[in-house]
Amino acid sequence: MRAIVLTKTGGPDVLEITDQPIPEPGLGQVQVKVAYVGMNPLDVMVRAGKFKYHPPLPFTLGYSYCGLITKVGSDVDPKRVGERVSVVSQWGGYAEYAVAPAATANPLPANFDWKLGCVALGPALTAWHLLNTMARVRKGETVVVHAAAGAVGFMLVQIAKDMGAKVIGLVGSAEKLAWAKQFDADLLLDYRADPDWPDKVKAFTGAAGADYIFDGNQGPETPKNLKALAPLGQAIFIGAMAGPSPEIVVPQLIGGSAGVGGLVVYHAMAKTKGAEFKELVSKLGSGQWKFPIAPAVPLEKVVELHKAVEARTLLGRGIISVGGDL
Amino acid sequence: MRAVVLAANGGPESLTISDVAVPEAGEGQVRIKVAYAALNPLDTHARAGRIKWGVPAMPFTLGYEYSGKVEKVGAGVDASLIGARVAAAGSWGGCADYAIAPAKGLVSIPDGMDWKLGTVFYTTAYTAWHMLHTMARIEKGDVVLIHSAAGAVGVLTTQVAKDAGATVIGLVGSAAKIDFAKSFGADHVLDEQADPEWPVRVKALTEGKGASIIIDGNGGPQADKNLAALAPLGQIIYIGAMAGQTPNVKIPLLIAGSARVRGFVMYHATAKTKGSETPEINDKLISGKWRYPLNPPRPLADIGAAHADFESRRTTGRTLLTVGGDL
Repeated sequence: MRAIVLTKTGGPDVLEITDQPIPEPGLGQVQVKVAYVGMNPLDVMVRAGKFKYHPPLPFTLGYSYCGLITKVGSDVDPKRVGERVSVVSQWGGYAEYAVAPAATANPLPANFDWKLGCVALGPALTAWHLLNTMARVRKGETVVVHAAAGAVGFMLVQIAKDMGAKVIGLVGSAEKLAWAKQFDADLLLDYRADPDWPDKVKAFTGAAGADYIFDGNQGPETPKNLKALAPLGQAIFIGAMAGPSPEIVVPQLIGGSAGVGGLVVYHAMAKTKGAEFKELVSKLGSGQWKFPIAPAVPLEKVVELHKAVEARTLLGRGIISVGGDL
Repeated sequence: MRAVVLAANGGPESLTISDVAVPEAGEGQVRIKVAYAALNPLDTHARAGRIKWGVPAMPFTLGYEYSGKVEKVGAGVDASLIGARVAAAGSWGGCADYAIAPAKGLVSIPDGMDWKLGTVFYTTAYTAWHMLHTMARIEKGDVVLIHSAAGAVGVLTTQVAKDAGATVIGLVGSAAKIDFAKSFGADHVLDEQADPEWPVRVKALTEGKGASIIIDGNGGPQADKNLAALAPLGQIIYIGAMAGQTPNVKIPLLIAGSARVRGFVMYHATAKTKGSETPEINDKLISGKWRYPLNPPRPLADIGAAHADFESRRTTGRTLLTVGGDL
């Protein structure tokens, strides 16, 4: 089968299609014929060597994918064969077939098409858990969302609005600012055109600052978040698309009663045990929460897709068609 | 009047009582006849030169936290304040017969509360309550790990957390303090000196999960161990102002553990709640539902010995210095 196996980290050109044996499901696993694989930021980070928490090389990239269950391990219910599933937070989706723990292969909601089912749940789960399980945002609180035109970003904007928060979105270009208006943030700022965005956040909140900031960028500008935080506020990090952050100095946190944090979504999922799915499935499936998806590209074009993600020019979640609509 | 004036940084033995003029209240200020001065850790840090932030330029009179009666008001201050029983913290000067404080920051000592408890109740009990409720938003079932669980903030935090339905694990610095910390309701108490692998013990006590809230007023090089004892989605709260150098926070480690590190200064929390918590806290303190560890007061002249005892960590419970006594 065709698969993109990461043998070394580096630029997008390290991604090559190779011929691999079809993986067989072991105990507790299912084999999935892959329909689509979504563009997860972790795929780019790991490929570029910027994130070290991953399986030992070589391994197959593709951290969120969907497809049909084609085989099951000996202790998994054989009735699951033929089931449409979405697999989140497991590697191996850049291939015609993948294996995953049966518990991570969630049935694709009936009201989702393949593409939505493939890409929406990961970012939606991350956003939902950041707001509900970690931050526990209350009505009237102010939320700042970095990369508000990205998939986690636009989900954060929409879910936070639904929770009654005031939402400020940060985007990296005028084009993205115009595009992100569809998600109804209370205020959108272009942080590149407006390097003093913390002042704008303060002005918008009557000098108080933001109660929560969600940042998947990090990078050298990370400390700016602390300037935009209200006392008792917290900046929560979920990625490092802009590179590593400077370390945070504890006395500075104390002086402002400020907090910093991070989230890996599986920790939150272990806590709620699926209670969030009902709302996610209903609101994404009905379109109440919008989830724009970029035009699908074939596995052969994955290098270009990685380049577009790194250049941060993609509008809508990137998606790769492997088997397509199965 | 008598005053303990700090003219140079030094050891506890350098503290002496001198005779200085009674200070006058300026605009927006009051003059307080001091009842008791509490020995606050900041007094020892300021004396030794361990902190700079928030410390007046020398020479100045020690006494970060004290109680007394308003005796005179400066311009622009409501004269009905005269005679009020108040606690002051943050304006210094309490180790003297009379002290000057901004009228704005004074805390009224509630009826039914004695002078001694009134001297310290606000900083400690309110700190404990606001850390857990206003900042951490504690819920039933949380596991709260408390550093210095035999200290005043520690035992109040223990009681507030137990009241909120949490499990409490206390850390203490010597075996002698274990029973003391337990007597305030901690479910488990670990001696961090005897057991440097205490994060492993915390995990074992919580079915491998770890603590969901860690309260740390010490910081220092040991602080990195907190992450190992924290449950996913948990939070570590550092209370200001600490004297020890706490290692910087590395964001990738927070992400990997779904952890949060937060800092806490109380006035940010009180500005948010605007006093809605006051009746509950005062009632629980006055009724004795929450017990406050107060030692018999020492005379002001013993201040050097009191600093020395505190810094050797021999002290359990809070130390008060009698200035005017029960007024």
